[in-house]
Amino acid sequence: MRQRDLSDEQLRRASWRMANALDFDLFTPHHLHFLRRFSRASGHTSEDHNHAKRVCEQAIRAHADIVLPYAPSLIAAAAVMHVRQSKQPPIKQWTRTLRHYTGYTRQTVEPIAQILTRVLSRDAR
Amino acid sequence: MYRAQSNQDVDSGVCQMSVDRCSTTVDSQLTGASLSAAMADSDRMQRQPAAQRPTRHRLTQPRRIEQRTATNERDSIDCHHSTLMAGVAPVGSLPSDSNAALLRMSALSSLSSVHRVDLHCHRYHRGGDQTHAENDESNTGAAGRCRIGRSVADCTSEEQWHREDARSNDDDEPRLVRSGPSTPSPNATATTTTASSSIVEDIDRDDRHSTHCHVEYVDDVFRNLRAGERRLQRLKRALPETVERQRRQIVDWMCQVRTQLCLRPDTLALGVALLDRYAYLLVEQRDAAVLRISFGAGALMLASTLEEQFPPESRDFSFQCRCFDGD
Repeated sequence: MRQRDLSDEQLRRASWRMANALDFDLFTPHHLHFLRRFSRASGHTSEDHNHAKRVCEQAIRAHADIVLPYAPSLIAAAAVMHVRQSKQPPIKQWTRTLRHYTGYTRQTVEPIAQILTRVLSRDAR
Repeated sequence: MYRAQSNQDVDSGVCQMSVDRCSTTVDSQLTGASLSAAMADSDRMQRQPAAQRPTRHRLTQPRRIEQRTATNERDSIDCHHSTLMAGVAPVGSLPSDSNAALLRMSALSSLSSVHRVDLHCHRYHRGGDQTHAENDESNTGAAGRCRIGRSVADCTSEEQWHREDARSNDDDEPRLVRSGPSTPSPNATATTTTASSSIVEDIDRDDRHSTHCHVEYVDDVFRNLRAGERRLQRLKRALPETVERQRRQIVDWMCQVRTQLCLRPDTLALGVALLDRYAYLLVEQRDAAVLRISFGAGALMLASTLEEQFPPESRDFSFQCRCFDGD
């Protein structure tokens, strides 16, 4: 039997096992929690916000490069910076508003945004 | 069993009340954006067979409209209801009795997020020990309360944070002065200037009087989220190469399923996060860990139970499993 032929009973059991293993502690902070607020602080339009969401979604596919070393809020902040820099014309500024609401300085976020860009272009190939 | 049942009764009672309250305002405030949102909702509703449609349908729909109205055209950016929900609920607040927990979970997922906020706030104020422990933990780093989780190593020592905070204080811009770590100070931050970047803009100023946005909780919510994030960083483990590859295949499959079943983006994000946490557990327990597609589907099922208004059935997921092209 192939692994992908699963009955719904098996799936229910799998999810039950997972919930038990995680001790029913199913709340996990993820990038979207932070991204909404950061996008707002950045004054993004909904288009920009969607772009940032897409960037995050692509980024969390890379575990060793992105998910393991960086916290979700830092990934979200880096995505916001990535979107700001890829706008026409690019916005280089990391405002005080952003600094306050993300809790990260430009010096912290900039390297992560570069890593994000590198990972995205690597995965696109 | 009885307990869960009674919970649900209480929940739907509250639900009814809030609908009555809000239905007076809905009609007058209905905007174009909210209309289209409502239409999208009803579209989605019609795709479900009538037999599966929950009976609470009539209750839930007007409330959704009302939420959209509150957030108006900034709708997609700004709905922090679910963020609020996720943040206020203290970690581990679900009872460990698994049966009751799952029933409660399904009861919660059928309510609107505004409601979930109310429910969780209740629990929050009633103050389980866990909640207080949570607050204490985050208050220790009160000066540098925002700088968390820069890397795995940074999270370990408290002193390091303080040092970092001191360093960043004198590097570029001065920090915003706040009256205290826990009290939101609307007047201190309320500035209307957007042109100058040297002033911190109060991004919640439009919602301060909105009863739907719960701005007063926003600081607590984010403190809780950051604390949860810090704990998450401690759980993280490097995955072996094979598991890494399997994870990538499963996450790709989850993205596909998300599109196929029209799930919310939150569901995908939470599903991936749950899968990761389970992978860390597996890697810790045994050397030759294997991530299977059933775990991916299980994580997505759990996430959709929590996040979706109408979670797909398990047979939808088992059907989607056949499209998995990994090993």
